[in-house]
Amino acid sequence: MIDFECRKLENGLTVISSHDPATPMAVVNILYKVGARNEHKDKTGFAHLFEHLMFGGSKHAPRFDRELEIAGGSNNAFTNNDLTNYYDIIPAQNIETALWLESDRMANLDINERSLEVQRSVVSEEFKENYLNQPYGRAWHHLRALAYHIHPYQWPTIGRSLKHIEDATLEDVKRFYKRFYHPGNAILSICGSIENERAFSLARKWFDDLPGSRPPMQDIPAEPLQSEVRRKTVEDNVPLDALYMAFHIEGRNTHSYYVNNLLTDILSNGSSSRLYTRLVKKKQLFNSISAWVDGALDPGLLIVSGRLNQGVSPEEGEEAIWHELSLLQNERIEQRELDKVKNKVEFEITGNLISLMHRGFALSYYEMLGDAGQVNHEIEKYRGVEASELMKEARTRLVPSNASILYYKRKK
Amino acid sequence: MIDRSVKPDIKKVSSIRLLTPEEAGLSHGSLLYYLPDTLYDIFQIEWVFPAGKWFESKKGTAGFTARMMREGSTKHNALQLATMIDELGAEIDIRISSDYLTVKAMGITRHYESILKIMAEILLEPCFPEEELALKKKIALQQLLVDREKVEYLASKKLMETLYGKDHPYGHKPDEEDIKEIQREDLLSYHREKIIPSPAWIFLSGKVPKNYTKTLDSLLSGINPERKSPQIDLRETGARRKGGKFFVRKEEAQQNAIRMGRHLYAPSHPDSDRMKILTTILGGYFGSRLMSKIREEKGYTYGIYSSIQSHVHASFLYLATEVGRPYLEAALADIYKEIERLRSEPVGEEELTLVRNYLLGTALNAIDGPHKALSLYKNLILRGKGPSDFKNYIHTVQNINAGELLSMAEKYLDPSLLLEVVAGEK
Repeated sequence: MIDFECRKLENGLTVISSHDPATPMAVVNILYKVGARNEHKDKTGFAHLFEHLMFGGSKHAPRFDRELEIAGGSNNAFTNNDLTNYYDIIPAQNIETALWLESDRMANLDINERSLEVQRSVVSEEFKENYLNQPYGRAWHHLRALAYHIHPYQWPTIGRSLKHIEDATLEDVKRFYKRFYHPGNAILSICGSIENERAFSLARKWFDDLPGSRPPMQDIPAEPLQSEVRRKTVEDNVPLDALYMAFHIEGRNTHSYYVNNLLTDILSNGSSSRLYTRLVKKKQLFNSISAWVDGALDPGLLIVSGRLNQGVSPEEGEEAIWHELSLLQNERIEQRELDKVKNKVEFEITGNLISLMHRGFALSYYEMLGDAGQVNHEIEKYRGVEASELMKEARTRLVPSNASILYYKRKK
Repeated sequence: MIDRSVKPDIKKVSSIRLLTPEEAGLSHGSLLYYLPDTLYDIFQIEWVFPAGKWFESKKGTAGFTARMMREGSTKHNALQLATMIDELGAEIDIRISSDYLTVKAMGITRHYESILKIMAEILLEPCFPEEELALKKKIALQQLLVDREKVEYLASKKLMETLYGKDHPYGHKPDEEDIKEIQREDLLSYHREKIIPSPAWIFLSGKVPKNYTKTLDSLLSGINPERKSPQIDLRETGARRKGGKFFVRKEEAQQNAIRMGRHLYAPSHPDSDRMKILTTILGGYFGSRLMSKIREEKGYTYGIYSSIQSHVHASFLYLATEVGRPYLEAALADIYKEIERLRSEPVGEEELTLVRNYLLGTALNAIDGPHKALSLYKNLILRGKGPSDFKNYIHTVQNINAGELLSMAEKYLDPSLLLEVVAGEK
């Protein structure tokens, strides 16, 4: 159970505080409600590139990292399709340094050609290191483009291509900053050895003077319903053939998300899961296999992906997966198996919240979903899912007309 | 209105207190360290045996023993064991490092006894079924094919092989032949000789039932029959090679992986804390010299890091980055320039304060809460150190001066003694 309080400043900034007297540290977590889904289709990868620029210095703190480090802190950030999250971990007595830095870069980010030029290059290297220069590294680009035709989830956070990163201009950066980086589009969480009242008064001290703002208009097009199976085959320099299957599911803020998450746990969470025991061990078709939901805010994806053993074709692998999916559709999952995956979820959720850093993010994240208090009810939500719902969801979702299937084949 | 041109004052981190775990000798000789938690209903236990790669006589034995221990016992087959673990919502993980084999379990407090019971079964009675081993070998062989597509894998493999030698436990990663050669008999005898008779260290943190030692005692009675307490042999191992440049070709690579390193000393060496600080300045944090120069100024890479890696018998300097093809030569030149600068110019007071404060803040964070604190404690114990060494480290961080760092750099960062490996297409 996480105790916290949530208030809103007049300028629209949401502030959450969770006092934890047991730690000498404090975490300042700021989530901005902007991600790759807010990008223009010809300027993809921009939200993430912008995240890099947030470390390029602000009016009164030209070197963000250095100022934080000299106060004993460290920090990082990440961007996904829906959000950009920044966090600072710092000895509690120096929490004001983190608030000063975060408020200065929200108020006066130093946007300049030099910082843009360097970060374009850094992000291009990141693109190569994590995607272009990795075996199977392009799979997500292909799969997303196959599953989405209209919605911006059709490209991954890193961007559609290197060219989009290289073409980003200073004008783009300024416009993006103005549109998305302001109090009304941010959720600040303060966790650690700071009493709630003090946390709120510090938040007011450092953020209250920023001009009021409302969240930007979202004009993200809805993805039309898919009506037939989509397929693509790619040949690349990979040692083993791989198979990816994506199914459209409802967004993170729906009950059905929890049902689908448990479905993927039944399929692949743990060594006793169905896909591992049957397709990796018993039938020995796959070298590795996993299933998960992406947790996207707008209708997202349930993904099953695996690498096939040498000598096994993607067609054989696909058939075996369809067979497993049909079992989910036609046979009620026994209570014992359902309890098993729920126990695992309980352990994972409880374990994660031990970390102060994770608590800071979780509070901001659930607040973005609508209510920070949801952090304390996740386990119940999973507990409340019934076997009949899993079967129903499998019948509606895990069907060919809702599937995008990618074969990633070894170049002969 | 707040004036942001005035920075908040910075208060020094003055006290860093490492929680002291309760220590108990168990009846069968193992040593138990326990740090309690009252907040979360979670516990974590690690059973550490001196049975890492260092102790194997046939390559790959330790790794496959670890991978196979969950794959069937005399009482339950692999699927039954996995189901038992998953039903408790628990995780049991067996890993090896160069020196140790560690069985780690995490779970919810109310399942403490049941989880430990499964853990004991996995530890004491694995049967290493033939068909499970065949599958693990097949998976490992194919994973090797995937790894070989990665420049970072190729470069670090070459570096370690060259540094300590292909036949040294710190220098080798199993290749096809090693994997194919592994037989069930090897695992059975490794388990019989290196695990069952071994005194172990046990690290337990979190919330546990009152009679937690009793559970451990009764379950473990089969292990360590001679009731010895665990000891560490701290002899230093030597490097096979110092200095030299190597290239591993990887067709069509878009980036080159750079790995550099040199053998330093045994981890208990008196220079080790000062060298840790020096490598932090070089490439150990975001504000480091290499990060500032090669990423934030030049944009050659997504990241560049240097660190001291410590095994039981050796510590070595390690530097790693991936850079775009056109930048290779320039990045290498900058790396050497930064190393040279540490050897010729004293670190300025401002930078010294920065790294000092950063390291103290990081240390405070590293021991925050029982799980993290015990993990740090474990790393000390397993390198033959103790809590006083952590105190000394903090003291060194607080008091180090530029002269000491300069002499460390002169002593250990001679570029002609650094091994350099590049993997990629140049």
